[in-house]
Amino acid sequence: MADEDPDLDRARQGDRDAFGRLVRRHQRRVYGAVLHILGNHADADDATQEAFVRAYRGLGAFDGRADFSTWLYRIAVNTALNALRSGKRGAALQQRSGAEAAHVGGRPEALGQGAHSPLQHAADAGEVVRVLDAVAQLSPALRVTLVLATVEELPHKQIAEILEIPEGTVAWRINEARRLLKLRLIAEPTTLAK
Amino acid sequence: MPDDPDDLDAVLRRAMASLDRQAPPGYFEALPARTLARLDDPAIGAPPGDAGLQDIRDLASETRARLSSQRAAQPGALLDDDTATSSVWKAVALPGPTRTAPRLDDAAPEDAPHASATSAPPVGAVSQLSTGAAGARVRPSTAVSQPARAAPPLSPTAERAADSSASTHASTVRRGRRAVWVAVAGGLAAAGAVGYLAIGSRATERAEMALTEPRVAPDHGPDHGPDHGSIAGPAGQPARPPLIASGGVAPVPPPATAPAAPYASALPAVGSRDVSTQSDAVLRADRRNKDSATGAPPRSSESQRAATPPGGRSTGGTAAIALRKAPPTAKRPAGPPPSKPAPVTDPLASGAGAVGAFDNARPSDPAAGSAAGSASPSPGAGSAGATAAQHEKEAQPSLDQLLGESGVKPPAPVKPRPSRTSLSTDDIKRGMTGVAGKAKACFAGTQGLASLRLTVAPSGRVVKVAVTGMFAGSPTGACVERAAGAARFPAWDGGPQSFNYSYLLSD
Repeated sequence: MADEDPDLDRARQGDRDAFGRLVRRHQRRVYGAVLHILGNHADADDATQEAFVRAYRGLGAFDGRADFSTWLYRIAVNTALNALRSGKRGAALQQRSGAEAAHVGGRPEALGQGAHSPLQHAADAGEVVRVLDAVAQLSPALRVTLVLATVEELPHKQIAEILEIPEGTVAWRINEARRLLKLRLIAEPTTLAK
Repeated sequence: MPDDPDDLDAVLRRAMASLDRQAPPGYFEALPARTLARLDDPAIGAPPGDAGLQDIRDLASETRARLSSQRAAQPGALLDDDTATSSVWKAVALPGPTRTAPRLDDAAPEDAPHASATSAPPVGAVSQLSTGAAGARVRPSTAVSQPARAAPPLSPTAERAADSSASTHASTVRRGRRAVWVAVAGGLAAAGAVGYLAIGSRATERAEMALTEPRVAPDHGPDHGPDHGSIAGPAGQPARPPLIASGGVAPVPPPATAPAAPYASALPAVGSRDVSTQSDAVLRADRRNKDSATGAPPRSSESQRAATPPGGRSTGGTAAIALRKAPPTAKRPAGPPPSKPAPVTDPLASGAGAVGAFDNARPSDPAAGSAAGSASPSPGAGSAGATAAQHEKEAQPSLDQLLGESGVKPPAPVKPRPSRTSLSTDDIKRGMTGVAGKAKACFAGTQGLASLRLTVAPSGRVVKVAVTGMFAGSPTGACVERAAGAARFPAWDGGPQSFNYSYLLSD
């Protein structure tokens, strides 16, 4: 049970070091999910920190009945959804330092751009960019559900719990997202290698 | 192009994997420190206990910033929005007591800045909403809350507001007067109705007497009265006043004492009767005797005319009803009459009254003719006519039966309308607590929160329920859904209402 986590107990009592340890333990998963939803590092970085801050502020309301990682994951996904639906991503970018901005892809329509390594350049030139563009054109709800199911490989049940929707809706969203994705990829035929 | 979903997923994973490389080296090592540093920000890193308050502040600040940016972009449209805001119109049409509109005596000079903090216009706020003298926008709420220290000259909007206020006052006065008039008219109507019922009751009594009179008078006449002394009514009953008020014809002033017994004996069922009516019967019997002697046509409906007021349709119907309701004399047991008059059916309260009126209005109707014939003074029509009337009465369907046969359904009882317009939190709690036992009994070893999404119809019944969260799609979730579906709530006026509710399933 989550209550058995000493760091969690200490963090709930205001111990920031303990909370820092919790961040270190869960940051990769949270960042990965947020990055896959938002599509660029800058927004993912901002949303990841915001998710942890929200989690810290909401520790008093966390009753320990659910797993802490699931609870944190839900906060992160909702934070990413809010960021996706709001138009403040561009404004946030301007406040970043130059070092951070170098990794910024910008807006969702620029998913996959801004890469600097040779491998990323190769990907930009190929089908990856088209796929990411097609994903970026999906609605936030479809995109999040598809990412959680396909990339994060979460079971439908957990997705339903995170998004607080019925499992049937999860399945429908995944199918719809796949259908739309396929349509858009067909509309722009590529030499996508299997 | 991948046709297989697995292939599509693989392509998607590969594309997403390319994003993972965007993270700069050392990013994850620095992230905890940066997050903790962000917690040190007093605007962000509130302690866990103040999370809700901080969320509200964040939301308020975000909303404020968004609205400000929108206003800066579209001032004209926002002015329209603001003028359409109810609070603005309240400020215009319903000035507060501290800034009533007619404060024209202490109006500020015209060159006073309307948007300044000390001279906010009380009623002309609509015209000042866009920008003030310094370019600062005056929000409606500010205009409402600030007292009017110096009211500016009334703008056309303000004048309309003043007119509106005055008209509101005038309409209030009019409503009060109208209420008084309605109350007076209602009282008069009630008094009239009571009087009408009383008149109808007396007219019915008279009609009964008129019914019984021909069975006695034509056969025996006033000279044969002593033959009926065995069923005479109580002597010495005080005489009742004549029924002139009911529209009946009372040609003979009532005697001070009871008349001779023979005519009283003709009223075994009603006991003490109106003396003047009995005198009327005597006169009518004499007149009929004269008519029969002179060959004049019989006055068949005289008894009805005697009970019918001039132009009174309902009383005529009352007479017809009384004719049917009057029991035949032959079936009356001989003996002392009851001390109290037999109850007379109120024609206004019974459906048969309408039938009687209908029959009376159509004399060609055989039923009406029969009923009228029972009251006719033709010889030999006494008890036989009354019996026929009784049979006729039994054969006559009631008004409800007639309406039912004609396909007209009687009006359904009006259900009291629910006073609620929506479910309150307490209503929801009560309804859901009622099935909490069933829901928690669904615990099957997995502890957790069963989140429910319910939709309740205005009738108070659950029309849709879905379990979300960890129990969604599980047998436990289905069990909880069944339990929650049995919840009942008070009915309300309006549309269906949806809400979330959770049960903690544990041992």
